[in-house]
Amino acid sequence: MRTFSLSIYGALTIFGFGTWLASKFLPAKFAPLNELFGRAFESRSNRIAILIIWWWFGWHFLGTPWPE
Amino acid sequence: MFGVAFTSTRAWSAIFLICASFQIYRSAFLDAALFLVGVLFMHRKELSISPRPWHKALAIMGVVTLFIFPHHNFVTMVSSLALLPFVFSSMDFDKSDQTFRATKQEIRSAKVWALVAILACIWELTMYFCADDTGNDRKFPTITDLIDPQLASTLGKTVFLVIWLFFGLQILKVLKEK
Repeated sequence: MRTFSLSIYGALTIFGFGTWLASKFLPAKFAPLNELFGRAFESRSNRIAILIIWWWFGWHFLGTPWPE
Repeated sequence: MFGVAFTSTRAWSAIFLICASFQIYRSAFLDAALFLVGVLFMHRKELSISPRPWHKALAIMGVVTLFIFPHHNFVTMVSSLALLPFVFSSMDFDKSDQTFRATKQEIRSAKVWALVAILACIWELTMYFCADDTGNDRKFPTITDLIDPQLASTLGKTVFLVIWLFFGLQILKVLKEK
């Protein structure tokens, strides 16, 4: 079961990496991430949400003294 | 213009309320408070937090401390919290929403990234609840179960911090270019 669980994470990572590659090398089909973020940041809510989510990752993995 | 902003605020509010509820469920009350603060910020129209030089100084000190001290203790807690004034002041609260028409490429790319994120969330939640039911984290590891042990070593923590900061700086770079 663990192998299956890990393989799903692996598949998702490859899917994400593939999307990043596609946006890097096929910008006519997929907009690059920085362009996408640029668009997203035109909305105030998106700016708030994306920065909070970014900070939360650091908090969750390093900052919180209550990891569970 | 109003429609786009209104939809975005409602969508993020719903997502953050779900996140806050989940954090309360797992007794992470500070995490829940953060997501609730996010919802409040989205709904406060007149909110203004201007960048100050001490925000950046505090954030740099926080980052340096995160590199030095082991994770999950009270020093790293304070260090992480020290980053918040800088993060909040980088949000450009005063800047109003702009009207735009997304290109086909942007819509396509956004849909695929959203799919990756949603699938990752679904799988993460599946693992969380499966592990809870069986009491066996090894068979059903969450992302935290996989990453957290790596952060106990200096190398693992440094790699994580560099990647995390890289993404943060990229976000700030795009924000500055707007």
